[in-house]
Amino acid sequence: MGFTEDALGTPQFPGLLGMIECDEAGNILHSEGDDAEALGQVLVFMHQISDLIGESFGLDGLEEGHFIGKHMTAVCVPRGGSDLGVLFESKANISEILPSILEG
Amino acid sequence: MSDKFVKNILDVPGVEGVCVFDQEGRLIVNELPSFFVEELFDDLSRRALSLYETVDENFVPCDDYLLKYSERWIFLRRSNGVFLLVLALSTVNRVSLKMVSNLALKHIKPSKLGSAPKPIASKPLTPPGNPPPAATPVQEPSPQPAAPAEPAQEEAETEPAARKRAVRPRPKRSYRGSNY
Repeated sequence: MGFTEDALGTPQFPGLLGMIECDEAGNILHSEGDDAEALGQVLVFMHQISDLIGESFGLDGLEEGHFIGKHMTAVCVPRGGSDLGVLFESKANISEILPSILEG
Repeated sequence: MSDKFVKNILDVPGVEGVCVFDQEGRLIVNELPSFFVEELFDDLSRRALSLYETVDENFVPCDDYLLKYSERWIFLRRSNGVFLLVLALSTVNRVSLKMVSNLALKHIKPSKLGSAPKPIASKPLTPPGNPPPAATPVQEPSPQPAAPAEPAQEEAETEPAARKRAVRPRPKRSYRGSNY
């Protein structure tokens, strides 16, 4: 995908700050990065409330939620039984990086 | 004014509806599709506001949210105490939408909307009643004080600066004389 790799062959995604995965109860399953745990506190709630907002319009469950702050963007991706939260720098090319992360 | 900016958002290809609400969840502008039942708006605004509050307090303040669903996308934006919700197709040009909604958020202010006009409208009603000089003389003087009321009006009419200037110099001269 054109991303560089470190010495161990792990792909390096420019602008990626961290990621976290939580189950439906909010328990952290996996976490990487410094700020990721802060995202974990609200990740499940983000997913649930976004589902309800979509429900007002008759829309099915959330597929992807972007929470855009001044200096970073958090992306919530619901997966079967868990939620993946990914933190990006504000200028990161999320549409290019996110699919690669989800594939990995 | 606000309608103009909201309609500009609706002009962006792919945008299906827009609504604006304030910090208390009151609907200010509703240009959502007809299938959206307005009675559901209370729930919608409450949920959107709780999302903002929760993220602000427990994570980092985020003014913009993009919620992607399989059929549609929902954009939530916040500025100046005003919340903008845009319902759009996934094919919408996000850059265009951001530019147009930036303008809308810049020009739509809570003071121009919903709750604000009420206090503004109530103020003009109260001031005429509050100032005792204007209200009381008109009501009381109806029997006798018609005379004092008239002079007051005459004074107001004769207020032209030229006459007052002619009157003022006299006491000034006398004061000078007494002082010396």
